[in-house]
Amino acid sequence: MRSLPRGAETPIVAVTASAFEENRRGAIEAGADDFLGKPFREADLFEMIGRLAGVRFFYAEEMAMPPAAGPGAPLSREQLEAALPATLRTRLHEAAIRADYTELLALLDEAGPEASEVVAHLRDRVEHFDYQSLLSISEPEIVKA
Amino acid sequence: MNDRPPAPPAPDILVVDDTEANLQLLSGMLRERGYKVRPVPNGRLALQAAKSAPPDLILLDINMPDLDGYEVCAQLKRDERTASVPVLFISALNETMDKVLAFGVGGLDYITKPFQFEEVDARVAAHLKLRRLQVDLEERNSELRRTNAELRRLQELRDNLTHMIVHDLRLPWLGCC
Repeated sequence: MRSLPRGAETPIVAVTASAFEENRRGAIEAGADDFLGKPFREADLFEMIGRLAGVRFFYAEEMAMPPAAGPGAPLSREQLEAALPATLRTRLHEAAIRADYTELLALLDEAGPEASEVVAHLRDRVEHFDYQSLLSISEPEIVKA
Repeated sequence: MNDRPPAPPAPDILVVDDTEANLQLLSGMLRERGYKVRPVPNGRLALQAAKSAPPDLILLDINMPDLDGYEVCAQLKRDERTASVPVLFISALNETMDKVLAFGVGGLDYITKPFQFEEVDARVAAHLKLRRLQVDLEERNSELRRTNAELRRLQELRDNLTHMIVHDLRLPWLGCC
């Protein structure tokens, strides 16, 4: 295979049921990049393929992890502005500056039912004393010139 | 209808601690005692909250990342809006706490963790009372100063008037001769 015109660079893993060391040496001498004795573990095979072919595998568990949209994802300024009227946003911002916990929760109760998702998110943030994430998206855009 | 005078607003206490569980516990207990509590998780937000609305008292954790309690207290004392707010430090027994430094930066008292809530409550109540007396005294002082200034002004007015009357009484004599 190694003598084929395009076979020189293809990674080759020798797979054999024999675990003897001379087989391993023989395989390497014949041009294999690595050697896998049977029975092998799935993880070892994938690790070897990954290493020799430069492939990275994405596993389903990893893919399911954040950052995906969900209750843990930060709220954007656009989401806040779409959900709450400007006056309420200003009052929330001022209450957050004062760290007025009770007032913040009371203000969130004033929001309409259509904003329930955003309100639930903000309530969670406030209950964890994370006023900063509210402050960073509620600050009025027009700052003094 | 209720004709008793309206109850004074609940004392406003700013509680600063970077450990969420401590903040929950302390602010929950103080709220139960009828205080208005503003819990804050770090020094920067504490300074912002204190300066935008000075509280009646601050409970301040010492060991915090970024801005520690000593630094927060020193900055509060440098700002005239918050300079007179009593600061009580809180620190765990196993953490290093420099009591001399705590008083040096303007702290009035300190509480060591783990604490009995009764102790915190008693110290908070005592310092709030002291603070109230101090504010009363300052108010009375400034009222006295105002009254004093008013009296001086009236006295001056009376002297001017007397002077004028004396002067006017002399004038007819000058006119006729």
